[in-house]
Amino acid sequence: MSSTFPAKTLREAYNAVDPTQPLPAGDARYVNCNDVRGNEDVVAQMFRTVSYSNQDTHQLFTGHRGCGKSTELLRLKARLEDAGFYVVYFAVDEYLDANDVIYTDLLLSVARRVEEDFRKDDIELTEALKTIESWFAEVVFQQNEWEQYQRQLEAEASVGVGLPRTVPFIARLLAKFTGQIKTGDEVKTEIRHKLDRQISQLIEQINSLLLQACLEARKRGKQSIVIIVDNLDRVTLKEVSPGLTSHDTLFVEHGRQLRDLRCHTIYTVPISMIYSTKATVLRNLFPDTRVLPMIKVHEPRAKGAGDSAQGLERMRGLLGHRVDLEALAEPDAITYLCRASGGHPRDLMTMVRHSIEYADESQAKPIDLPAVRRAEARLVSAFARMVPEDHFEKLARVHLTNDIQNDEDHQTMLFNQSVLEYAHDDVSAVEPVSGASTEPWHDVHPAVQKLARFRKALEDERAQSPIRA
Amino acid sequence: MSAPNLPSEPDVAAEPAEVIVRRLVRAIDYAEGFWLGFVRCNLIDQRRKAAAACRDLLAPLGIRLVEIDLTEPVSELLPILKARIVEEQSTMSAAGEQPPTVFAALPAKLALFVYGLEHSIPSSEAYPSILSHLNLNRELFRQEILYPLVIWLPEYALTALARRAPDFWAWRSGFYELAPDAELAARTFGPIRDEALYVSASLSEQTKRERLTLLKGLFADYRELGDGSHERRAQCEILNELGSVHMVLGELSEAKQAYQESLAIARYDNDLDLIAVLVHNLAMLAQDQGDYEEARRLYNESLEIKKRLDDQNGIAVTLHELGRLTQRQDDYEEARRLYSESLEIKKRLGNQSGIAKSLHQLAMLARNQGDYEEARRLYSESLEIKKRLDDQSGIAISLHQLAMLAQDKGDNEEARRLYNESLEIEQRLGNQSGIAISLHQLAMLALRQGDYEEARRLYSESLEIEQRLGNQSGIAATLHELGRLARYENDYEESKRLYNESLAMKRKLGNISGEASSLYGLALLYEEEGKYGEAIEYAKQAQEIIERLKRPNIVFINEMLQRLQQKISAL
Repeated sequence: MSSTFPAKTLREAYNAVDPTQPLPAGDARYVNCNDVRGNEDVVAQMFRTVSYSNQDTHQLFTGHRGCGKSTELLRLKARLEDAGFYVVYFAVDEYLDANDVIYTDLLLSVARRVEEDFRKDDIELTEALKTIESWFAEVVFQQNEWEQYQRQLEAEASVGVGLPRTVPFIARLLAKFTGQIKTGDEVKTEIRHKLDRQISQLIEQINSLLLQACLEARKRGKQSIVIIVDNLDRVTLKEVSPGLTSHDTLFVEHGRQLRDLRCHTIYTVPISMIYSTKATVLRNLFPDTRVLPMIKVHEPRAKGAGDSAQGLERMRGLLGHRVDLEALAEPDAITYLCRASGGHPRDLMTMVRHSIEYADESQAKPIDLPAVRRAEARLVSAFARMVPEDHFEKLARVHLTNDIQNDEDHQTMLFNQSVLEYAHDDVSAVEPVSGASTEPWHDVHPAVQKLARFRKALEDERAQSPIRA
Repeated sequence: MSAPNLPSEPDVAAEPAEVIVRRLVRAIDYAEGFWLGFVRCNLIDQRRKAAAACRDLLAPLGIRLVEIDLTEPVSELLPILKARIVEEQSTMSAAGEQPPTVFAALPAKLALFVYGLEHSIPSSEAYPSILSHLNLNRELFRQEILYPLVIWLPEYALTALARRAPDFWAWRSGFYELAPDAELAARTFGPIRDEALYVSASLSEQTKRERLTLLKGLFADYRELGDGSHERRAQCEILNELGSVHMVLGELSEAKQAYQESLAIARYDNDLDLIAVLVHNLAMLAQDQGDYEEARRLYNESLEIKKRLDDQNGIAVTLHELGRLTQRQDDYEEARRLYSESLEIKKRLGNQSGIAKSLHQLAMLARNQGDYEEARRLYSESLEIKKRLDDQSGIAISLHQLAMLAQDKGDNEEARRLYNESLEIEQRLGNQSGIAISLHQLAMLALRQGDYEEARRLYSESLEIEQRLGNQSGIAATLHELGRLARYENDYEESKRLYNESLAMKRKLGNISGEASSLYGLALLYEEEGKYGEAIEYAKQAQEIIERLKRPNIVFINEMLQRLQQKISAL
């Protein structure tokens, strides 16, 4: 990786805009975009919720795929740690099969990760682990099952599979369960079934672990524990029973259990959840839901739909921290890309990569308008595949109203990013007639707007409701 | 499909292959660590050409191209890539040992091209496990694959990936779409279109699956090539081929979808000859699924168009299928008339494979009416022709029928040998319904020889396939046999349940002869239970049907009724 930014050659620039890397906290490439993502810094909000509260808080965090969620969460983690919190951060897909996650899996992996992090810090949680162990031994499993697990883990440890013997037995067992949950062993269903029947006890057990962990952390001068579960938004969206998606089951049906953990928690959820038919229930369960919107590169229709100079500047800044734009690019070309990205950081990075492929090295500023136009065409073509035929009519309506409905199609649009969410930058400036002014607004991704099918749908829609046009 | 013409997106204009290759090579050259790119390419020949061009440009840059061709479906990609990288690295270091230069210490950069992932993505609507694997493990790809990874896919599979593995897809740095090449498409499709049906039916299952992929690629190419009537006709024909391949593989819902899509285009363009063919094919599908009424309606619709067009060959084909439908509904006289009419036309046209088919059906009729000699003669004549044409799928069917004749004669050994020979061919061709029928017959042999366990195993295997295919008449027949098996094992309640289930299905299908055999089975069952009154009731119903059909097995029923009367009087 190039270690100096901004990059001065096309080759360095290409590697400076890797769309697959979230930025570590404190990275030189980070740009604060609060002002164009709404008034509030989401990280600051979440931080305050945790640090001001005397009680445990349970927050949801969401935003479009690739809009910088993980980057922001890593910042939050660093900030909480600076303030003395003990932060347990993990990405759910490290342990679980995101194609098939249920809430008990999630609770088990919380226990596993807490044990693991404390062990790495040489903090013993022996007492609580013993209690959990005997609960599993006496309540969850039959004696023969339990002995079978003991033998199995011993055998595995003796041949160097799994965790070594020095690790407490229950920790090895948790690792095994969550491991089985990842690999889809048939034992998985059985364990889930057993735990599901004794859910309140399971939560009690995990809470006793958290309690001890909290006490131990305090002994070392720490504040309480914060658990951040990242990538939960990657849980595959599918219908598990009529009218019930995998997301509903996890976050709505079992939201209460996720809230029952006795520490601060922050869960990531798919942005489409916030607009699902179950949104109200979700909001009741988790009143503190934070959305990381897109960077606003243009204004909503109510304010003329023109460029947002500030937002474009911020997008340019995102690139400027990584690439020496002065040396490599025509200013017009960069503005063009920033508009075309819809304020979506990853799409911007991807398009810059495409542009570099098209760049004419013989030019003084090889990233020029022809190069970025062709780069944009690749993104447009990618969207042509993502958008189902029957969405265009609704997309045209979203574009004309800057508003979305809480239904399945609109959920899919947010999920596949054909619709992007923005925040009003200055709440007081929004005309009162436009309704609840703090509500976010929406627009169709600029790449989708270039599709002929969208343009056709837009014409039809305008013809139908001339007032809007 | 028949959507109105839309202006093409001006900015998404196709790029020449050279530009695409140059971009791809530059990206691979620049990329450090994990890098992900997708190439959309619908035809293998086109892919080969582009990949070779890449290799030539990568070599001077010191980048070694590693091509991974997945010929079989896989559920995970990462382990395959890792194994291949280790393999490459070890050959590289082995080669480096001989001339120990300073460069030998530097690992050469690899570029991974993955082909054939579409075999793991059966359709753009499916949720195959490979896509969740990619979506969930994208982090691992970044950590463990430290080289550029280029995945080459045809259009439909790429769409599936973009929709079903959105997180993996979102990580792409490069996206390249090779534009369809009209000449190549025509050259590829020509031979397939002109191929006789029995030739494609005789391809091995593996080849049929490859054909499906090829056809889907061709379809996407023609769709992109434009919306002229020439391109639409090609799309229509490709979809029809696609439907036929799905059909022989027993993938009936996919077949139906392809036929219907094709029919929509044909109707839009009022392409009468294609409409006739497609309606005929949809009729066959309905017949396979036991919807005889719909099948007859569609055959007649097709026949009418073909007559209007004076398409003699087409008329012969539809008459033949109408004959099969009529035979299945036990009107043997009418079936014979239709077969003969069809045969006459085929003889006039010199359609050898068609003649073989007609002879085969006439043989079946002869057997049904107890004329085993005539049946054997006709089957053998049909088999001769099929062998001459190397019509594998036809040969399998002939062997099967010859086996049935051997079974009729009580020559179990010969019957088993022939069934197995037929089964072997069906398995090679992936002909699901053929496999199910052969298993069914082998089960009957096992049952006859008292090996109940083997019989149950084979029936269950057959039933499973029939259920997957939704083949109502096959399911009914197998349930009947399982009922018989239960009766032999004195499980009367189970037996009654199975016979009755079979009976209900056959009545719904209008399969009268099948109905008679279930009634006869129930009569035997009640006789064994000592309930002679009920037994006579069922036997009489069976007798009435079999008399009407003039079947030779009427003697058994008559004997049974006599026996039952005696038993009642003896009480």
